[in-house]
Amino acid sequence: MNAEDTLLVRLKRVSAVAELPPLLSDLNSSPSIRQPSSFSMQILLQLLNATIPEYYHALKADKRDGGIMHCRSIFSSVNGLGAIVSVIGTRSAQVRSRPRDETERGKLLVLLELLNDIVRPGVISVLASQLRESDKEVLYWQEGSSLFAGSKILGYVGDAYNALNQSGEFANWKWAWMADGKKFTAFLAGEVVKAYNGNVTELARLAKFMSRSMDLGYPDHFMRKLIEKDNFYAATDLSSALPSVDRMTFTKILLHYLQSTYLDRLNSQEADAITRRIEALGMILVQLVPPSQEDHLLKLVQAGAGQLFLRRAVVCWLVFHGLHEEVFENTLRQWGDRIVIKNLQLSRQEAQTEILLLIIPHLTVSYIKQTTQSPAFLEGVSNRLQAMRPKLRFMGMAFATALTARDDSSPRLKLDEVDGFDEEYNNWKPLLDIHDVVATDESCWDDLNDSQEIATENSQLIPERESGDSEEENPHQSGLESETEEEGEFRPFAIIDDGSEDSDDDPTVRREKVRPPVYMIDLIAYFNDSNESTSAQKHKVALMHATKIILRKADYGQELATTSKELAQVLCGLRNNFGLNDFDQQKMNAMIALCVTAPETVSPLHAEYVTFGDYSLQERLIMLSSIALAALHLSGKSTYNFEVSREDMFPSRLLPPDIHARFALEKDYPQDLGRFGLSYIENSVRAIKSSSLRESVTNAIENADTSKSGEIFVSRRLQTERDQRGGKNLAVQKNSLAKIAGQSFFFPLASRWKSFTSTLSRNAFGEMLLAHYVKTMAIILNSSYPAATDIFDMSSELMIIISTIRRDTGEPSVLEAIFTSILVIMDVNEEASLIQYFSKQFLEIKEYLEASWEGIGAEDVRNLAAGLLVKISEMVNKWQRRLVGEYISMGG
Amino acid sequence: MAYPAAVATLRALAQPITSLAFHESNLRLVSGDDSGWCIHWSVLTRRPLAVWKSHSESILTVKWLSDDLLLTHGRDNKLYVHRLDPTTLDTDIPTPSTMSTPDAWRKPWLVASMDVNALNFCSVATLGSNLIAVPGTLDSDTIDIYTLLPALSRPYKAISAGIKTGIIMALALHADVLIAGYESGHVAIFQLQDNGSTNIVYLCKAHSQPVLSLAVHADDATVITSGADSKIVKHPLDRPPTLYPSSPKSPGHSISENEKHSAISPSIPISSHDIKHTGISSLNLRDDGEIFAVACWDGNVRVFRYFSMKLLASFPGGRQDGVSCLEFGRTIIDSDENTQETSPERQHKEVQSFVIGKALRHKAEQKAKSRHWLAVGGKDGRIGLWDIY
Repeated sequence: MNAEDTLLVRLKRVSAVAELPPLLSDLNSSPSIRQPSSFSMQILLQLLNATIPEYYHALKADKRDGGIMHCRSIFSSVNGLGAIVSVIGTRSAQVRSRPRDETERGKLLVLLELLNDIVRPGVISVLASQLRESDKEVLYWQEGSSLFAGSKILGYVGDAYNALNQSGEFANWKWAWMADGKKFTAFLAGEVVKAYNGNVTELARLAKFMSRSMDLGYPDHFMRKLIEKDNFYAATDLSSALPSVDRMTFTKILLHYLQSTYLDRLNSQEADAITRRIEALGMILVQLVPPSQEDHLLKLVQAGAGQLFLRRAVVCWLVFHGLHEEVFENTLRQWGDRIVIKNLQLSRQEAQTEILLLIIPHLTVSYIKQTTQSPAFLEGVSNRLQAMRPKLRFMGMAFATALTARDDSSPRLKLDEVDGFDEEYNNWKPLLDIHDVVATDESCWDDLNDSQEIATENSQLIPERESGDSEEENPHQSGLESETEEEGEFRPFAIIDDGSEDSDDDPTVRREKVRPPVYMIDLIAYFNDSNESTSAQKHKVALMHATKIILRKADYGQELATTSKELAQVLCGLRNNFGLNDFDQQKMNAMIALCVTAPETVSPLHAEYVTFGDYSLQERLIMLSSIALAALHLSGKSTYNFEVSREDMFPSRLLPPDIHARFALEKDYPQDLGRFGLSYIENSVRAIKSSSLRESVTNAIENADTSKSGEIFVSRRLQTERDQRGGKNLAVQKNSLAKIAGQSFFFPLASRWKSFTSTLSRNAFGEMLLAHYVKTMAIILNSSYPAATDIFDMSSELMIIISTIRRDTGEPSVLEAIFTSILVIMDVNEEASLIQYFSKQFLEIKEYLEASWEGIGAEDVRNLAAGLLVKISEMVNKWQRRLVGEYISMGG
Repeated sequence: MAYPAAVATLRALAQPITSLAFHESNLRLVSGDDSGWCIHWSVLTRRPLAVWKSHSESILTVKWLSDDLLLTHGRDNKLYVHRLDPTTLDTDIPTPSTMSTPDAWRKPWLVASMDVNALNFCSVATLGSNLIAVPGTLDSDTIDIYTLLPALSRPYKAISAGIKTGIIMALALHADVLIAGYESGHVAIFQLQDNGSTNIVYLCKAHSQPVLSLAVHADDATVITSGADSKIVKHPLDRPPTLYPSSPKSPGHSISENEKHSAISPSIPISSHDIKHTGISSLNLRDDGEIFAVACWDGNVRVFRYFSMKLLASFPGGRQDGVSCLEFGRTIIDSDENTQETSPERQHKEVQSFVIGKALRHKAEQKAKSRHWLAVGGKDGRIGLWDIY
C-alpha cells in the first residue's frame, strides 16, 4: 500500500474530530492533492461527502490544531473548488427532490459554508500563484475562469439557494451573496484588480478573465468596481490588454455605464457642475478607450438618442487625441451626403449635427477658414438646404451659420428671416459655447463621486418603511388604547400573526402578509422579489397598485423621475409566472401610466425594447400599445381609462408566444384584437379611417378653388373642423402631446425602424408586430396634430417607412396599417405640401392601389383601399395642374 | 406586551393528540391520541398518573362524566366509560418498540361500553353522566341519544334536520336542547321533548364549509360554532318558536319544500366573525364564559373575548406540525377550599397536612388549582400548557 492509499484509508476510518487535524495536515502537504488525478478526486469526494458534513463545524470550533486551516487550504485550488461545486450541484438536486429532508439540507449547507470560506477576497491571487507553478498553466487558467467568470460557481450556488428556499424557509445565509449575480460580479471585479496589482505577466489572462466576467449579466456592477479611484490604474492596464473584439464590447459597456451612472440625472445640475463631470468622464474615456476605437465610439454615441452629455465627453476624448479635425471632416462629409440626408434616421442626423457643432469651438480659425471654402462644406450645406424636411434644412442652416460666424474672411450667412429658423438655431447655439477639456487633475474623481452621492441621496429621500410595530401598521394594536379599561383583566397580548395570512393552496401554510406598496421603489422591489413564499403575493399586490402609485406620483416629488426608467425596465420584462388574473391588463395599465407620466424617459425605452432585447411577441405588442395609448391619452383626444373592466380584457391566457406567433394567422388576427391593447388601437384606427374617409366620400365631387392668391394653406382636417365649428366658440382642447410627440414618441420608434426590420419583422414575429408598429406611429402622428411643430418631419419619416414595406407585403393587416398611415399623413398635412413633397409617392401609391385593390382578400381592407384610392384620386385631380408642372420640372 | 409563552410541555407519544379533558379539580388532565392511547396527567407534577390503550383506533373524545368516570370514544366504533383509579394503573409512557404490546399496560375498570357509529369523526356530546348524543348508527346524517343508566336505552333516535345537510360534524347537549353542526355548514338546534320526539328550533347555514366544532354558553344562551372556513358564528339558543317538528326519517313523514323554506328563513345568527384564517378545527369555551380559544390549521391558537369577539392573543400552539385540539382548565372549582378559606375546619386541615409533612405539596396544589390553564394538543404529540387570563 503506497502513501496515498494509506491516506485514503486513514481518512475513511476517521471516527473523531481529534483525528482529523494531523490527517488534514498530511493531505495538505501532499503535492498531488491540488492536481487532477484519481487520488485527489477520491480524497476530495471522501472529504466532501462524508468528512466535511460531519466534522466541519467541529473543526471550525476547534482552532488550536489548525485543522480548519488545512481543510480550507486543501480546497483552495482549481481542483478543490471544482469538486466542491460539482458536489453542491448533486446535493442541490437531492434537496430539491426531498425538500423536507433535514439531513440533506444540512449537508448542502455545510458545503456552501465551506465554499464561502474559500471564496473570499484574495482567492484569485492564490489560485494564480498556484497556477504559475504548474506545468499545465493554460489549462488550469481556463478551468479557473470557467469556475468564476464562466458562472459555474454562480450557477450552482444559485441553484442550491433556490433548492434550499424551496420549502419557503428563508434564512439569511452568509454564503447567499454568491448566488446574487450583482454581488458576485462586484466581487470578481475586486478580485481581478487585486490579482493584477501591477503584475504585468498575468495581464493578458486577467484581461480575458475580466471580459468573461462581464458576460455574467451584470457588466455595470463590474464596471462600477473598476471605475473607482483606487482601482482605476488596473482598469487602464487591463482594458489595454483586451483583444480587439472584447475591447469593442468593453467600450460599449463603458459608455452605457457612464451614461446611466453619471449622466442620466445630470439635467438638474448647474452648468459648471455638468462641465466638470463631463471633463472627468473625458478623462475616464481617454484612459480606457484607445484612439483606434474612434469609429466604434462614434457609431455608439450617434446611435443613442438624447445623449448630449455623453457626446460632449466623447468630443473631449477626440480633442485630447487630436482626432477632432479628422472626425469633423469625415462627419461633415457624411452629414452633407444626399443619401444620408434622405435616408438616415432623424435622430442620428441630429447626433451628427451635435457632434459637428461641439467640435467647432475646438477648431482653429485657419482650419475653419479652410473648411468653409471646402467643397465638402459647400455641397453639404447646399444638399441640406435642398432637403424637403424643414428640420433637415434647419440643421444645415444652423451648422453653416455657426461655422461661418467663426470665419471672418467669408461673408456671414444671414438666415434670421427664414421662418422658424431662429427658434431652431437657439436650440443649437448653446453647443457652440461649450469647450470641454479632459480633466487632468486628481480632483476630478470628486466630481464623479458627487453623482453617486446624489444617486444615493435620491434613493434615501424615500424613507424605508418600518416593518413591524408602528401603530398605523398594526390594526390590532391601534384601537386598543380606548378599550383597555373596558377589557380590564383581559388585556390583549401582542398579536404575532398580524403579518401573515393563509396560503391560497394550503391553509396550514402561513404566508407573510404583503402590504400594499407605497413608493415607486417598493413597486420595483416587489416585482424583483424572488422569495418563493412571498413573490406571488408581492407581484399580485404590486400589479394591483402600480397604476395608482405611478399616477399619484406624477405631480409629486422626484420619485417618478428617479425611478421611472428602472420601473419601466422591470415592467417590460414582467411575466405572468403566477397565473395572476388580469395580469396583462394591469401590466399594460401600469406601462401606459408610466408612459403618460414620464414620456421623455419611458417612451424611448419602450421603443428601444420593442426592437432589441429578449422579449416575446406579447411583451413587444404591449410595449407598442402602451406608447400609442399614452400618446392618445396625452393628446386629450381619447382619455385612457386605467380602471378597465375585465370584460374588455381577453378571457384566457395565450399560448406560449412562439407558438402563438406561429398561429397568428390572418384568420385569427381579428380575435386577437382584444389582447395587449390592440382593441384600443383598432378603435383609434377605425376612428381615423372613418373620419377621413367620410370626408373624402362626401366631398368627392368638391372642387376646391386653389387659384386664389394669398390663401393660407391648411390641412383638410383643420378646414373641416373649422367649418363644423362655424361661428360657435368651442372649448379648445389641450394637447399635451404636441410638444413631445416627435422627440419622445415618434422619433425613437422611427430611429429603431432599421433594426426592427432587419432583426424582427422578417423572421420571428412577422406581420402582426409589423402592422402594430406602423399603426402605433400613425396614431402618434394623428394624436400630435395639429399643435406639434414637427408634424411634417414625422410625416416624412412615416412616408419613408411605409414606402419600404409596401412592396414587400400582401398581408392584409400590414396593408391596413399602411393605408391608415397614408390616411393620417393626408389628414394632418396641407394638400399643397403633400403634392409638393410627396407627389411621386402619391402617384405611385395611386397606381399601386388602382392595380391591386380589388385583389385584396380581406373585405374591410379592400374597402379601405378603395376609400383611400378615391381620396388620393380626388387630391390628384384637384392638384393636377401642379402635378403636371412637377413632372415637367422633374423631366418626366 | 409579548405573546404568551407556554408554562410547561407534556411530552406523550409521538402521535397527534386528538382530545383533551381537564378534571374538575383542575389538577388532572386526560389526553387521547391518534393511536388510541390515553394518558392521565398530573398537572402538578407534569407526569403521567395512568397510561393505557383505550381504543384500537384513533381517539375522538375523552370526557370526564364525573369525578372518577371517564368517557373515551374511538374510531374503532367503541365508546367506553372507565372508572379511574390512578393507583392501580401503569405510568410508563410506551416507547415505539413497546407500543405494539398494549396489553402489558393495565386498563382501568370498565363501567360501560357501547358500539357507536364513528365513521364521521364526530365527537360525542354528553349531558351529566348519563345522556350521550352520537351520530346515528344507521345513518351518519342523523343523531341518536342514549342513556347509560340504569340500563342502556335510546330515548331519541335518528334526529334529522329534515334537509340535505351532509353528515354530522359536531354535537353538543345543553339542558333540553341538542345542537348539531353539519358537513354542509348548517347548524341546527333541536328541542328534546319528554315523549321522545324532537322539534327543530333553529337551522341556519352559518358556514360555507363543514362545521368542525361548537360550544354552548349557558349564561348567555348562545352557541358559537367554527368550521373549515374562517368564520366564528354566534347563534341564539333561546329561540322560542318551533320551526317544524324534527322527525326521525320515517318513511311516512315528509316536509314540504315550502314549509322548509318559510321555516328556515327566520334563523339568523347573532353575529359572524371572520378571523381571516381558514380552518378552525377546535373551539373551546372557558367555564366562566369570558373567553374562548380556537385551534387553527395555520398552527396558531387564538384567544377571543366571548362577548366582544375581540382577539386577545394569538400564538403558535405547537411546533411546526400544527395544533389539533385545545381545552381550558377549570376556573370555577367546587371545593370547600375556595369558599371557606378561613374556616376553622380548613385551618385544622392545614395543620394536619403540615403535621404529616405535606404542607408544601398542598400549597403547590392550591397554586395549580388557581391557575387558568389552557392545554393545547399538538400534532407532534406534545401538550402545551399555558396559564392565560
